[in-house]
Amino acid sequence: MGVLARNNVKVKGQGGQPMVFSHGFGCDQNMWRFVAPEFERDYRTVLFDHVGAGGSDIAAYDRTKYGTLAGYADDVLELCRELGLEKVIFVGHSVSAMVGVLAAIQEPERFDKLVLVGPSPCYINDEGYVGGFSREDIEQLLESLDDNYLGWSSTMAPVIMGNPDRAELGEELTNSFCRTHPEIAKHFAHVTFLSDHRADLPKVRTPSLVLQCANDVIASEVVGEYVCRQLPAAELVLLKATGHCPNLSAPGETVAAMKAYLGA
Amino acid sequence: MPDDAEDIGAGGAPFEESAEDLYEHAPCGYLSTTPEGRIVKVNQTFLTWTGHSREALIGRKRFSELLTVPGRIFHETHYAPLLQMQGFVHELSLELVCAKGPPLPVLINSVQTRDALGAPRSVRTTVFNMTDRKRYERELLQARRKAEQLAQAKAGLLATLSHEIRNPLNAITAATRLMGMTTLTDKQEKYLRILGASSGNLLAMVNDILDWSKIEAGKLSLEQRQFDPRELISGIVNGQAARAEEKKLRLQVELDARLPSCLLGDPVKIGQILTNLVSNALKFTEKGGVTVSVVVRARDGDACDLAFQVNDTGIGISPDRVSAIFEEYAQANYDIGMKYGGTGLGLSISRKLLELHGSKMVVASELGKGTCFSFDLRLKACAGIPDTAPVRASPTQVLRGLRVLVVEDSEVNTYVLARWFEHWGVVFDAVKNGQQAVERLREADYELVLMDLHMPELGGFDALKVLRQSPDERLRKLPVIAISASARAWQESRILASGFTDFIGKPFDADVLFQKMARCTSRELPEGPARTPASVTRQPEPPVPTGSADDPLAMTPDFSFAKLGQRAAGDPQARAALARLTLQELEQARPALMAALTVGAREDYERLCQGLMGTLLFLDAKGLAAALRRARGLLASPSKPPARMQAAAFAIEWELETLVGALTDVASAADA
Repeated sequence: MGVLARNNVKVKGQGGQPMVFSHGFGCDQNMWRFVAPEFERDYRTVLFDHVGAGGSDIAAYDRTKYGTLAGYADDVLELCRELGLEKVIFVGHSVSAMVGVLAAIQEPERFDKLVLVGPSPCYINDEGYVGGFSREDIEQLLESLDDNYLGWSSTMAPVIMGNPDRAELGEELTNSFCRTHPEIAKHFAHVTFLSDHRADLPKVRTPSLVLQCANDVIASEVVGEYVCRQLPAAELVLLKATGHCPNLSAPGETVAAMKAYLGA
Repeated sequence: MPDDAEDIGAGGAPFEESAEDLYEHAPCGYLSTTPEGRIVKVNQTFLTWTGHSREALIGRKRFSELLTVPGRIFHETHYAPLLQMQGFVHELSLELVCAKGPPLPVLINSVQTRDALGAPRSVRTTVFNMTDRKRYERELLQARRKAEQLAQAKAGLLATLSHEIRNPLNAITAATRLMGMTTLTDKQEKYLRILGASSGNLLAMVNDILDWSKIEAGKLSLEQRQFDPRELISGIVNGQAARAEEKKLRLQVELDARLPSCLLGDPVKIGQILTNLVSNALKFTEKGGVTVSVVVRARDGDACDLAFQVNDTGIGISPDRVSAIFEEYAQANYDIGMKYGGTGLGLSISRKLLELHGSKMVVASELGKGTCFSFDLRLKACAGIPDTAPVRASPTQVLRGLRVLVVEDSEVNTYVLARWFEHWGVVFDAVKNGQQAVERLREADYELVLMDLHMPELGGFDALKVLRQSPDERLRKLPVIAISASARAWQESRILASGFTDFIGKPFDADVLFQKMARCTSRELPEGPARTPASVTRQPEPPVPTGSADDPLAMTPDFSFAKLGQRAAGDPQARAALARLTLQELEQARPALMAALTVGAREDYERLCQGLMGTLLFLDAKGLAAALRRARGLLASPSKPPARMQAAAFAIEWELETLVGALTDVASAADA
């Protein structure tokens, strides 16, 4: 299966410069449904699902490859190569902000700008660093995921009834937007919340925009400021929007901030 | 008369239920928030469950702040996006932080309300207390885990048991084969055949169970090595040919000419799948035949897409039973199990082996007409021919230049014979039936014919008749070796009377084939390792030992008389004397050694082994040394598993027996 089918890649837009949208943990490319169309007039928009999410090829999931965010970054680069994308504007939400950072370090010449929405290089507090969560918090999260005590209760049913093959049926009932494979989501959570890419930030040469929401429990304002300080060429924009998903809760404000930055 | 439609209160006034009261004391919690999540309204039930006061929540807290940390992360990454995208969420499982006590497991449903312009106005959340349900779920999960562990433990036990059964069974089948090499009365031979067939069946069944339990326990993985697919299939088909002949069934092979001669994969597992399919097909077919075919569907560089098929003209499977046949222990129905026997694990194992390959079995069947099992594999082709085949057969010059005609309708068999012949330097031609054979033999001068008994056109018997009645003396006296899978056919008097010089069974044992070919053409054999002492006329070189030290039942002993020859310095008398001395040492140690092993006397055993050390080195008896080592390891183990001890003892006996036999030959050679 080719990269485009594997990652359920969707290309739209009339513009020349490519804009690649990368979704975070917990959802799929639907995350961008209010944002991406706003750029179709001036850019070539590329949307995709990470392997394990949405319409991606679940069979392509390889626990070793996707055991680090680098595996996801490789996929981004692969699809850029496949589509022959140059001067890419990479828009990454949540954990995908770090995926973009890793991709841009690997092939700096391919990227024009990075737009990082709610980025966090490390979710766990450390000496002199506030990630927002203690190690116990994250361990508790992963534990609850392992025990399946969390998440859609409808995906629990198949776990108990022993029919994991058809788990997606249960999910389909609850939501048609953010389809994720429960086992993969669990592993993705491990990879995401235990990752520490603080040391990678200073290596990025690509100019970057950091979009930071108010009251974001996942990536707080201090984290956004930290990211901005560590990136050699970054700009921080504080949004009025609250929560972790301004692309959904305040698409207008998000789009405006992006356009202001890209236009500049 | 009061209006029926209206409920009457105790005082006779119309009963009014306050909506507010219903809201406050409903059996579920209610909660309303702003679109951003700030709590604006909450009912009493929610407050009672969580222990929070209304003042602490309204206007002060966000809904996500009432969640445990994992819940909060889940809320932000799943719940909030979903709610914004689809306007509702159903049955999310979360935990609420309570003012006192442990977190409360809840199920929540939320709906987004919108104002006249369509902008989000609020979020209404209904909270169900899930404490009890959670407990059931936990118990169910625990029960499931326990059941799974138990099933795995059972599979493990089964694997251990099968393993322990397999060792003595191996010994039984090997001993049966050895006994078959001795002189037997007709009755003994008959009993021995039954013993051989039954122990073989039992071994196959135990192997099935062992494989299945290994797969169940997740202990099976694929190997990658080079193999020749033609040789693999030939081995399988020849292994099953006896059964086909006994049931008078055709067993055919159709191979794509484009099939590479070298593939990279797991020949053992692929062979297992095919063997299982072919043996099933033969089992369930009474008339007609079975065809194994391999088609190269596509070739993309090194990658080969292969389609394997096993077709039969058997009883077929009814459509409603097709899916059931892949289940463990399942056979198409109970009667089938009674009539045909078997563990019913074969297909389930095959299916699992294919799953390991990322492939699956496809079945097409019509009741009464036949069944076709097929599967696809994508394998890598490799350059050249895998160097696996001619490893056993005597690498000597004996047969070099011998001109042989092969009469065999199976291309695969011809192919395999060709591999050996090339190795031995035999010059040969091949024809496909008796008619062609007779024609060719009249034209050209051959020294030997290998003839399959079952062929189209002119069969083996008829062709031989033509030859033996020929006016040409050369043809009348030409040595002809019959090839058949059915040893029984050979014993029928009409074959003995028919004038064949000798007989070789399928599957071919290369050593046996070599010796028979040499004997039939009066070519001299080198000193064989005790197997054919009668045919030894001269001892040119010490035998080159082959066989692996790891396989206790390998039929080729592992030793060399090179040092013996060196010490004797070319003097046959000295050589015989040395052999006699060595023989004495072995014979003296033997009973004590076996006794020590039987009673488990470790110290005695080790002392005896130590004493034999020099002799072992002198004879390069690696096979015996390995067998002795294995037994020593077992003696040292606390459990001393009886089945394995027995197998080890058998291996030592076998190695000693062959050594003694070979030494006796050397010792007596000079006497003559």
